[in-house]
Amino acid sequence: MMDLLKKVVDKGDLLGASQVEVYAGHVLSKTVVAEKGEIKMALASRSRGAGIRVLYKGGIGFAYTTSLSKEALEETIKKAIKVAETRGKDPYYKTFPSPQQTLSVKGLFFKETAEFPLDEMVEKVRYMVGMARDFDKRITSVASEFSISCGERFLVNSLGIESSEKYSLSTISVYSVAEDKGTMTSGYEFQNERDIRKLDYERVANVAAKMSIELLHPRKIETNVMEVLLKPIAVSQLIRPTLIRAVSADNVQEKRSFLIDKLGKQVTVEELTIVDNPLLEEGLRSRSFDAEGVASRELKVVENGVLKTFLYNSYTAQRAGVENTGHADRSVTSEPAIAPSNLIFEHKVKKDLEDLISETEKGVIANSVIGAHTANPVTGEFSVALGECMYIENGEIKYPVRQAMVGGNVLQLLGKIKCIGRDVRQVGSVITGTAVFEEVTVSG
Amino acid sequence: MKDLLHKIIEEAVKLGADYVDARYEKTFSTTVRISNERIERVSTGVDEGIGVRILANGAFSFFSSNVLDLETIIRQVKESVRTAKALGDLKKEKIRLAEVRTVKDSVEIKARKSPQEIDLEEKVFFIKELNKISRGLDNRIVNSTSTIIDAYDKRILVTSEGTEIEYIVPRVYFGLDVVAHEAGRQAWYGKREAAQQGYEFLEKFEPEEVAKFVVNKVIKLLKAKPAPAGRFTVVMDNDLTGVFIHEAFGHACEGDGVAAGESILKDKLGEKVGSELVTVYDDSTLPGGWGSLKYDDEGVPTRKRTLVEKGVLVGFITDRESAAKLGLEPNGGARAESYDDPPIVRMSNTYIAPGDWRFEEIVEEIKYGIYLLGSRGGQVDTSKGTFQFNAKEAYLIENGEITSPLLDVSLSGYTLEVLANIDAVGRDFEIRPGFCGKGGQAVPAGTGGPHVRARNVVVGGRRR
Repeated sequence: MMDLLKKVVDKGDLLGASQVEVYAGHVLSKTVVAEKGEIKMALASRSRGAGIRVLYKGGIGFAYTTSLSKEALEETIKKAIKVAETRGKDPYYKTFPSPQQTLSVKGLFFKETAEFPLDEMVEKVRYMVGMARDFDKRITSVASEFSISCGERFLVNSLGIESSEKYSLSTISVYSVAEDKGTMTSGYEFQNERDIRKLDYERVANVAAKMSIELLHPRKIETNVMEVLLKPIAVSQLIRPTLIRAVSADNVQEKRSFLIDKLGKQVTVEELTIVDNPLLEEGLRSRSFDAEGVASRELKVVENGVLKTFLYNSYTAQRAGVENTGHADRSVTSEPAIAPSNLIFEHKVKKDLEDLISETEKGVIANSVIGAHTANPVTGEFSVALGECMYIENGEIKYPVRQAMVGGNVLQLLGKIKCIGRDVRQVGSVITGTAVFEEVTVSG
Repeated sequence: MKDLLHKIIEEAVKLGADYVDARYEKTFSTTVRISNERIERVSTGVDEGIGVRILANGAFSFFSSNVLDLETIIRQVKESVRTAKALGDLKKEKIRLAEVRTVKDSVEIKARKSPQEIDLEEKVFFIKELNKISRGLDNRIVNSTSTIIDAYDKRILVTSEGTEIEYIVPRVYFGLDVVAHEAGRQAWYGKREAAQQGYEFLEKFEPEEVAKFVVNKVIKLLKAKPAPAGRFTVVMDNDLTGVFIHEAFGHACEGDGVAAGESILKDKLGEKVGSELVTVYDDSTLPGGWGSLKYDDEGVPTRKRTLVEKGVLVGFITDRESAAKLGLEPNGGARAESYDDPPIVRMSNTYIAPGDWRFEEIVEEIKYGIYLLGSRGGQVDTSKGTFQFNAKEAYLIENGEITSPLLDVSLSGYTLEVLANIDAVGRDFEIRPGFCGKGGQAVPAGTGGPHVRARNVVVGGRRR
């Protein structure tokens, strides 16, 4: 593959581009799906593609292809050059990144994951389904999925970057529906691991099943001000469309962010520090180089509540005249955008989840938030429903909540964060435990 | 490419497959985004591949590939047939497909200005204008982002039963988003339009008008106050009514979820599920509809499906598998986002039928309520029957008058409660284009209806 990509770069030179870059990848994935307690389907997918970027007369051009034939690649280079011509000289962008020393990241690829046989996946799915179904006789329907994907990504540019990296990922999930006396509820759980041997099939099945049973017979709560405990899934869902978008330099530069005048300022409680670490061993978003080939390194984004930096790719860094933080992210079919890698939330006050609950006088604990993708990324305003939500009073979980909503501004909410639990897990790019927010209005 | 699909089917059947559908798809697509008059992003390219679904021994296997060499694919066919057979041995309830008539047809939605034929400069012209005009309309506008996305999508479907359908669909989509700042306050508003057409679609729009519309909205939002929290009488505009009925109700009518026992509507066919003012359709045949399609991705002719008639649940959306399980007819609800995905049950154009209330009548009786317009989308849990969706714009209603604008507001609730609490359905009607996500697949879907009033709905504001 590397040789083929180097030829593309040479061809681009020949066609007159001053700089050429190819980002390519191939991935194999397989999935087993069960529904209503039975295996439903097995899926396999083989895909590859290449995105070609050129600098031509000062303009940036990009085009992609999923066919890697010589003709298709040549056609794609020509298209990219045509785009660069149409676009004209860019006011800010001078060069693609140059080669740098990359640090190796442990635990991105496991051959045990890549070689895990399909029939064993089927067996595990049946095991999880059986486990969840046998948890309680009120469980009426169980769905489950097991998927594995393995691939390799490549970055070659005419300045001398030639990087490639293999990766593997395995994911299991269980969805359990429970019914009792006319009420119907559901619970779910999932686990992602680079190393398939770390998957805990029993735990995932039991958590989902238990959740569906605990949520039976929900009650209404009155609209009131109380503590809100958001579990890691909920925190991640809320942060992704708001804070993560706002901290991306492109949105800051284009004034589409609520953090534009916040650099160096207090944006959350002093006790909170947020670190982006692409080098984390076995991290789900770990990588030794970003999608433009820039070497990964650890970065403090928020330190003791103060916003220290935005996340940059090569374009936004050159535009701002700052050092590139190496946060280019993209698929082969798009130009580099910006995304965090593993975003770690650390609070000075850490407690066990049990203690977070026992210290809550009056509040709710939610596993997820519903509708976070509808939050306003420009202003940080959001209005979401709490999913899989339980009411807490005098330190004890009392009953499931029928309906609860929380609204406000994400920065205001982050200003109310009191502590974070030790129940740390990674959901998407966010790594956090359950976060406790004080004095939040919950509509019931 | 048809040859390749036939070879795949031949091989799979030879190995013992009971049914095979093989789909080929090639999509040419261009995306351009302009921010404050600078071209921020251009992506153009071709995505081409196949997706093959094999039924053997009562179980399905599916594979997709964009590596199109025959040898690799035939190897995968063998493996997939073997997999399906092995899965079948484990199944108590074998998968059956409802019978359908085979179809041989070729459908092309003609474009006068095909995305294939127009050059990049012309594609960008309209959104450049939008960008420039909207930026200049008011000095409080700090960012204006305009986007155009086109696709020219060619699909071929061949099944082992003899169905052969070729489909060509052009699509054009544009959006304008503006951000305004004033005295430390920020507001954002966006508008999107889309059609199954070529670039002639843009001729319907005056850039000046679109820009003015969006800028007026965002300036109003600068004055918005936090919304109250609690239960209120709400009025939803056409756009939001559409999103509500799609998210909160339409998803629960999808046959796969119903058959899997994961929908609150699973035992409710023929029962009253809402106010008798409510009639709901999912219509794949709507002329020019964003979510319209003549055949679904199993080759089944689509139709206009009545889901609710005067408050009574009368139908579901089905594919061949769920139709067989539920003892219903397949009605063309199987859609796949691309060759990379197996078809699953999806909506097309979903709407509440108009009633006979005038807008003034809907609002005038309300002492204290909220008027909600537009939506950035929502989410639903069909097993709990709960939903959340967001409004782009909201106003207080006080003593029958629409008064102050409110900051981002969402609604949440139990679908059947809200449907029962609808007590006024407007005589106006509009249907809007959007994208619907399910199982990791996004497909074009139209949503709409009239203005609708509902009592006692939970609104997620932040003050009591």
